[in-house]
Amino acid sequence: MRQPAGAGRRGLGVGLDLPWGAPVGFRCDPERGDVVEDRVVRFLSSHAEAFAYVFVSWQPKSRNGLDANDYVAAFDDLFERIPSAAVRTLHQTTLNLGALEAYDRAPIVDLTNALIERYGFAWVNEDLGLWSIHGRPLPYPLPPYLTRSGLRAAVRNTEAVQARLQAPLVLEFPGFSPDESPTLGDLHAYDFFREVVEESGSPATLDLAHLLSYQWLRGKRGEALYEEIERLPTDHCLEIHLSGCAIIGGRFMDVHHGILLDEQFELLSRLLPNCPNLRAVTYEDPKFDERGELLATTRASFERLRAQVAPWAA
Amino acid sequence: MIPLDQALDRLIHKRGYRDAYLQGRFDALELAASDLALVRSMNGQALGRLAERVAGEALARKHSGSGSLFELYPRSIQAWREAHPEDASGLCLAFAFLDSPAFDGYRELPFSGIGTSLEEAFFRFCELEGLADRVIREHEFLAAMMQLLVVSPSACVALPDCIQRTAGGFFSISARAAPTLYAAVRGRLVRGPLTPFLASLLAPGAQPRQVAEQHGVSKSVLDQSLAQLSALGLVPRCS
Repeated sequence: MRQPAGAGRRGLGVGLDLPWGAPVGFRCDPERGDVVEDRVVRFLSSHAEAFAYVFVSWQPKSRNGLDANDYVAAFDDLFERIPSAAVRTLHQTTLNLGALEAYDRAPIVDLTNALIERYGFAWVNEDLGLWSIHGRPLPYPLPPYLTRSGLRAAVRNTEAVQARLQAPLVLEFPGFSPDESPTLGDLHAYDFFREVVEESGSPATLDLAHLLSYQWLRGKRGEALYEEIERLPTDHCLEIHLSGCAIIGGRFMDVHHGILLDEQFELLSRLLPNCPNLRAVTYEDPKFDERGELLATTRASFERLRAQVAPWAA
Repeated sequence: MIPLDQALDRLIHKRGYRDAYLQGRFDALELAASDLALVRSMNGQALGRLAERVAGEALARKHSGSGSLFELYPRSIQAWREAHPEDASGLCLAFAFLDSPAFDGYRELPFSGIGTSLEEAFFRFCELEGLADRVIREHEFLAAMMQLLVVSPSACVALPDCIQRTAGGFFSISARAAPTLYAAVRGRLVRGPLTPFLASLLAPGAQPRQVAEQHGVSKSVLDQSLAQLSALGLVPRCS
């Protein structure tokens, strides 16, 4: 398995999406140029003791051809103003690793390598799914084709990126929306993911909302939600993600609102002892106000996660 | 027969193809037996909801400062609404747009091949449907394209022939009414009426001296005009 440089557990981390023009994101300031929103800096600075690791997502600034120079000012501003002790990684959003069609990833890898070189990202995370199809965007990543040919394509795509990327590519188990994820193929998604991870020699990210959404979609409830984790590539697991989820109208929704479910904590407790190469447990897309303070509705989730991760990280 | 990824693309974007699937007209799907079996086991309701969301977002999604199609084509879309009062949400419009051949050339991302912009694809759709007046359609199209190019001057899209590149950016001149300049140059939008002389001067391949002679314009006026166009970043490459 391709491992990132530096050994050891990082502990609790935080992941931020940071789209352009969003309250939690980047923006173009008429006087200062491209900057990160101040509330992001306030949040990360005031929680410097809590997070030993931070990932930020790459989001397109415009429809220009990819050029790392277009992103340097904003990323410089972010990393100059937030605590420097935390390990940094990048979440890609365009590699489209589940695609069957021809898809030229070279410009994406070139851009990512330039960012790795400048900011020292320890690894690059990416969902093993479809972010677009035939050049047209999807509203959220769809699961890959759960077929043998889909599996071969995913391995091939991953190996090609892994060979050129200057930091390890970490594959993330994809999400399964109950409402809008038409799934093609009948391979078990855990088996599919494990095979791609193992065949490509990649590290893995287990997003607990994505895992639970898959099992929920298969009709699993209660104890059955935590079954089959032996089918996951737990020995390749480098990172675990927890984002806010809710069960609405009997459906499992990965809403990223900062409030974690009991089911996520339970699954985390079962995975922690089974992931020997785990580096970070990541609180993804926390919700905070303009002062950088966590919303009151989310504080209990954050404190509970922090408490659960602390013994593992010690 | 078409491959599975093409089928999924059509199922998401093409209402006619999706309807054939949902109504069980499987012969129309052009799929090999093994792929057809996979498609038949798919959750049709989830597909329908995804398709609805994709269509809605095609009209409503803002593009990195360029605005949504609702914002860029208000009068063309108003013409649709007047002709289809039952389509209050615009979803029928969105489905019709995605279903049209005008949508087929559109590519938002260049990694599977360069295509037309969403702005141009929607203009082509409005042309096919005859929405609003042709002068209005052209005006909305050229304004939308310049909005795209002022935000993303290196946009990975195929540009239509009516848009010219200059050292300072891009411009086009309306052809369906008195000449009006639409430009995205040096990070700003420029728009305004042109005299026939200036329009000819900016035409592709124009030779300034010949244009001046044809319009009875003196050399000093020609020089002043070229200087002004140059200051705006509009001098065509051939000048």
